[in-house]
Amino acid sequence: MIARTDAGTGSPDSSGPGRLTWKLALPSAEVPGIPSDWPMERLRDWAWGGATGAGVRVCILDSGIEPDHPLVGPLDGAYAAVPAQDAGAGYGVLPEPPHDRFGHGTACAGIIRSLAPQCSLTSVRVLGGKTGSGDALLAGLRWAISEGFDVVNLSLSTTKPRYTPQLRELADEAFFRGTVLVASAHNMPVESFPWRFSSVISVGSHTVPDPELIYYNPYPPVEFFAQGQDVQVAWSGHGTKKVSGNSFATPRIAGLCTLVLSKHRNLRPFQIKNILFLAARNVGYRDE
Amino acid sequence: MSDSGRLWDSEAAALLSLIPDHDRLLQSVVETARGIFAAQASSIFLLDPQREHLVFEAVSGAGEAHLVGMRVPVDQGLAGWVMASAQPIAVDDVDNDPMFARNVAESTGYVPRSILAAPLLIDGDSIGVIEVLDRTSDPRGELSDLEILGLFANQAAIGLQMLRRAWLADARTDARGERVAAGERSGASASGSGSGSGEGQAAADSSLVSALRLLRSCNERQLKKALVVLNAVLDV
Repeated sequence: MIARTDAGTGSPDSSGPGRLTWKLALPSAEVPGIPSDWPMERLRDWAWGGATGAGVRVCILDSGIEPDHPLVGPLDGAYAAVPAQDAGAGYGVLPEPPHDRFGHGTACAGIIRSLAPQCSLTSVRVLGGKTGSGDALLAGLRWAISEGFDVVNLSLSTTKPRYTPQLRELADEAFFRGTVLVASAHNMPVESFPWRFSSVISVGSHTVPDPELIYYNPYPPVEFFAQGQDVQVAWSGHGTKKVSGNSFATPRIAGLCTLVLSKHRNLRPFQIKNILFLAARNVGYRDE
Repeated sequence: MSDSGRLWDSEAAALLSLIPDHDRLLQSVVETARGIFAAQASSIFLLDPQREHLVFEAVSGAGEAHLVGMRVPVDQGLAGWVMASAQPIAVDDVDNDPMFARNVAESTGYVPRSILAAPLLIDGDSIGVIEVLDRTSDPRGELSDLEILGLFANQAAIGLQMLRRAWLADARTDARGERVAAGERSGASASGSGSGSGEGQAAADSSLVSALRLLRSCNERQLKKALVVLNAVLDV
């Protein structure tokens, strides 16, 4: 069953906007309120079968991406959200030589590339200064939306409530402009954003080693679960690591969104979300 | 010594008296974390006042004898990422990365196979990182190791926050007591400020000298700790 964990109380039954559903205990065939004869069994083939990601522009907001990593391949741009030279002028996004001092952004890029080998990848580094900065996240996201990227991967969030209103406005803007935001749920039972917004596609982890297997969560705010445990990923130093966390489930969903868009170019974010819903193991998709 | 000097003295003394409590709490946290995961080691890093390094503040297990006080840059590595992103992470084959292994071995003398790391969050800000090295693979119930460490890190952060708030409350109480005593000695009303601007400046100068005198008696490690704690307290 899918866990319904409430922050603070752990009560399984209470509901309401304050509830945090932040983990999937055991994947199952629970069908969240649609007819059992839903006629979409072959939807995954229709949605992304044979797709390569060609023609779709993906932006990764993270710790940067290591250049020339064999599991990532070519980048179409590398930028960083940095404080403006004029004090008080906020953050701006500037080009920089690609690099990743943490490895995390490289891991996300490698996962998307593994699903969508011909997509265009661009890095915007928003982590890697002295500490993570909500201002950098806002600036990077604003830039990515204004640049018209098709998919933005956000395997990160901010725990600082003061950024919430601006993030929500940006998420809504992306939704209406046709940029799909795919955002990690926090791995701890804490409030963070933007994954909690309904205008983004939020992602947690399941433990099944199947890169295309997704579950829909009938108890949002986390809406989808993808493989996020013991995942072999690209890492800085031209190597790989075996890692766990929602961070690594998120680029799987971003990769699937990229595939869908490369086959069905004009779909809107709400349609992409609906396809993911219908393609989820516990909704429309069945083993054939 | 002036009354105001005593006031500063009491605050500085309260700050220094916090250090053993702070150390005991951190050590208890890493020992408990190591026990939960039957791990080879557990450690806590706190961000230094310059916000440029993470400093090993407590270690249980491998490295216990020499790691405390060592620093790693905050803008790189797993601990750096956990700090910056405020997210936990599990890495289970770190020793297959020769560069990582060499860097870690050079700085810590111990190369783990696996690392579990989570941020210590206070009011949404990461103040440090807790790591668990080489945990056993035994099942620990329904929750994943990442989730268990996340829950435990939250508890540890709440403990640190409470300790720091208790210190602030103590310092304020002591300061108020000193002010009342000073007022009684000078014959002024206990509820009034009892000092003009000239007296205030003299008191501040005297306080500074007094505080510096107390800090001069600390050894280097106590001074560094005092800075870390003071920085954290002022952020509360």
